[in-house]
Amino acid sequence: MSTLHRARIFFLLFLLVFFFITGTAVYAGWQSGELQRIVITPLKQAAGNLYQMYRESVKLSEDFRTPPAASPESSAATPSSQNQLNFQVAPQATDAAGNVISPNQ
Amino acid sequence: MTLPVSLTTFNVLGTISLFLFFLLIYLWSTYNELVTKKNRVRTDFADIDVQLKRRASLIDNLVDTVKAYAKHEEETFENVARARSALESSRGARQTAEAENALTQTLRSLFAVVENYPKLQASENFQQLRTDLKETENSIAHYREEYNQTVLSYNNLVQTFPNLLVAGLFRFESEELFQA
Repeated sequence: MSTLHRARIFFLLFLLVFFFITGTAVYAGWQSGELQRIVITPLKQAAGNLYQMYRESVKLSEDFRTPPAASPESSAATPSSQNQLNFQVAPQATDAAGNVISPNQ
Repeated sequence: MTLPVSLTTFNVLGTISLFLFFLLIYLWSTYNELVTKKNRVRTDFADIDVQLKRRASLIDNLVDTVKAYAKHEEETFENVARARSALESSRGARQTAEAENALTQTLRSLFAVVENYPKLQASENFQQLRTDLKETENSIAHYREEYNQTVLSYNNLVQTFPNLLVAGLFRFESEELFQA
């Protein structure tokens, strides 16, 4: 028997056995629900997470590309006092001992 | 003692299936590599064979040329013809190499005969044949080197573990080097 003939028969049998065992494993897993629990659910979750990450990255890039709306203050020569870099912090209320009084108290 | 993974049908068959998958990938790639290298060896041997045939043809012409000048050297001509037919009927690297070496020996005796005929040595036809023969011999040496490199690579693949198991399964055998 030539090498080619042996290889042809061997690989054919091997593939048949492989597909039979894989098919049986998938069928058994499907029947018992293990396939759903071990393979499909984690895959779905991973795909969902990936999609969520993709959506967030697209949203961020859109925000980055969109220019801010023109306002009279932004075109003024002097920077606005509402500029985030220059915002003023209101003095916190303290009691006689100097402890900060929270607004909920 | 309890196993960390329960031995369900799905787990057992899934593990076997995964093992078979990796085994299949390994067998597949090794078999393809063996076939590729074996074909490379055959092609390289065919390259040598082409040059050997060309050489044999040149030797034929050379013998005819010498015969015209040295009619009484029948034994030498017969030896050359015998060596040439042995080369043509040879199979495999070892047999071809042996026949080729025998032909080279008889060719030396032919050139020794030519030494006795200065007119023949001076003839343009003879000189051209000699130059062509030298070029062909250089080509043979070059192709022989290539062939031996290819055989080395193929033999290393066939004889090393774990490829030797795959080679044995599909009856890939080691090839012989072309030794001068």
